[in-house]
Amino acid sequence: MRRKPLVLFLGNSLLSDDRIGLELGMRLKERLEQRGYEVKLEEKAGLALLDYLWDRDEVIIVDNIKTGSHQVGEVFTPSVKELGTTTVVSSHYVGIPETLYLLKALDLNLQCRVHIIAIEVDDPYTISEKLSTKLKESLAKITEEVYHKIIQLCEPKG
Amino acid sequence: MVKEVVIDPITRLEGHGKIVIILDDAGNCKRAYFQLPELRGFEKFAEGRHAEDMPQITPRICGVCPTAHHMASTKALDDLYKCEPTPTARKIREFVYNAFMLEDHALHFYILAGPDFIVGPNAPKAERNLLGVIGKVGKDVGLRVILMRKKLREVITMLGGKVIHPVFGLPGGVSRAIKQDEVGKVKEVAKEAVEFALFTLKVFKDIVLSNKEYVNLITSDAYTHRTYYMGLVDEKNRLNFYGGKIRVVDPRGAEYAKFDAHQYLDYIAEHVEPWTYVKMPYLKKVGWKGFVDGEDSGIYCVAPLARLNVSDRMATPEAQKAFEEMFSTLGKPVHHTLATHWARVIEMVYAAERMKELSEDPELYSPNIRNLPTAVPDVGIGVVEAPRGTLIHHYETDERGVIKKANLIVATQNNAARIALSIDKAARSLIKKGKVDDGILNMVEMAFRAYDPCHACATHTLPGSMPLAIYIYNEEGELINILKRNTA
Repeated sequence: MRRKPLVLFLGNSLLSDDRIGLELGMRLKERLEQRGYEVKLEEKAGLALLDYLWDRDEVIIVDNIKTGSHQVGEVFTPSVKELGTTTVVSSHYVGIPETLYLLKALDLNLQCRVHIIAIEVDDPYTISEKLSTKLKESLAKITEEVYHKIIQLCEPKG
Repeated sequence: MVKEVVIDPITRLEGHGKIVIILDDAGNCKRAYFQLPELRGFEKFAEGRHAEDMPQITPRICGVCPTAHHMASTKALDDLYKCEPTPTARKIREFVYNAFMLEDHALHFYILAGPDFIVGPNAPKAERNLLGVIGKVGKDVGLRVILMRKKLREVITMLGGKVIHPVFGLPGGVSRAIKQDEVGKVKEVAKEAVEFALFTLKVFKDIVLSNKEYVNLITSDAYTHRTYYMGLVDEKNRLNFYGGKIRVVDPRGAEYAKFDAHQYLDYIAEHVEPWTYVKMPYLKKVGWKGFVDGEDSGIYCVAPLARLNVSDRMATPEAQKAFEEMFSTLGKPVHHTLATHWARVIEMVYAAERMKELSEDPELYSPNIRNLPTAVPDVGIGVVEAPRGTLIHHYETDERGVIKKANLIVATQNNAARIALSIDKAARSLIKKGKVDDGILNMVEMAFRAYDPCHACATHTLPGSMPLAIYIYNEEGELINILKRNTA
């Protein structure tokens, strides 16, 4: 039997814009659950996400990114390849791409579809429980965009 | 001259790793500076908060080693409220902590050091990654690592409440006893952990120690510094991750100091350099003499290699055998930074054996898990050995337990000066006549990868890799090249 799609909202609640995923998760949890999704808000890192990514049919990861090539608050869906590198210098830099590569290499999630929804942020480094002004101003708009992206990715028309 | 390599898109470069290399007229490295991101303002953030919230707040500094912060913070609260945990509580804490250390070390050995020592430092870049490691050790081993890690995390979750940001530590104890129906699982995981750790030691011996080229690399001068070492030891000067006294040995291996956490400010001072925000701790009484090693320089080292260097022996049998083998091979103390990987594997064996010892102790399963604090709080200092070294939490509060001042010395910060020294030495040894290619860059990275530097700001944002930029200047201070790597 096909399992419910899992939406993973990631973030660090103490690192300013790094908390955007958690903020979005709090706002969207109820709506998504009513629609049949399983929703988790997590502050886990890197390989700790393995527990969520294997033995699944469909996972949507919502997290922040700082590329410098998108507007702050822009919501986009990078591929794992676009994000990825598999050479790391510290366990603190093992990210989602490395985790997915590992699962793939071990044949652990061959059936799983993984979607990534990224939100461009301004400051994911400063210790603060508040979002940066730019991001906070667009929070309502970002919330709706992320919601519709999830629906669009997991519930294709027809 | 070097060829420019730019990998796009550039992500998270701000505040992240930067190496500045200055070349002389002949194109040889004259000086290399390594700049790291710093934990920004956490101590200020803590002010005005209730100390009892710190074991829940401080683990959020980092998504990778939260259990270490939780434990150091909980111990600081024991001290703040003058309330020692019950023997059972202490044992539960130690069991969880050793499970965490084993899991973290396994991750580093297989996933991070693996590309260097299992695949090989000179292997093509495309193979120096997780897939390369699995290709070399086989899927079965990869699966075994992942499954062991999963079981360790399950047992931590069972006892600690949560793996990431555990919630079980309280001043004077823990929040829950081990239930009767959980005893079997605790014993089973501990037994399996020992088998797994011994298997990993064998993998290390078979793949790394049997390869003369790797051993030569480990012992090469480029990765060798004769510094002081620091770590926690028990009353018999044996390694202990959870408690004991802080012991420091000098570059000859003789005891320089042994002190209680409360005395850390008598021994540790912090040096500031104009080119980095990271404060560099050094031994106060020896003094700061710049980025040099030797007995006259106060630079010290923490983490696995340092912990074994400060220990007279190990507290468990198989770890003791491995300890003796390492020091009979390399001498004691070991000054080769890359031997940190060997020390890490020995610590895995110790962590697993200690888990097993504790799992067989009936006191672990007693319901007596808490002493209630009654004292008026003032100052609390807690210390543990995090995977990456000595971690100190220090809180000063008012009579209500509201924090007036906090000071955290995190593991990587202790190593900051030695890491800078390592980078400089590796760059000087390896960069000649202006040649800086990917292989050399990897060898320079290896100098700090052994420390597994802990940068709290990289908890989990999508691209996990550490963006590293290398700026190369000539003697006149003109920027002549920028190399960027691992920038997703």
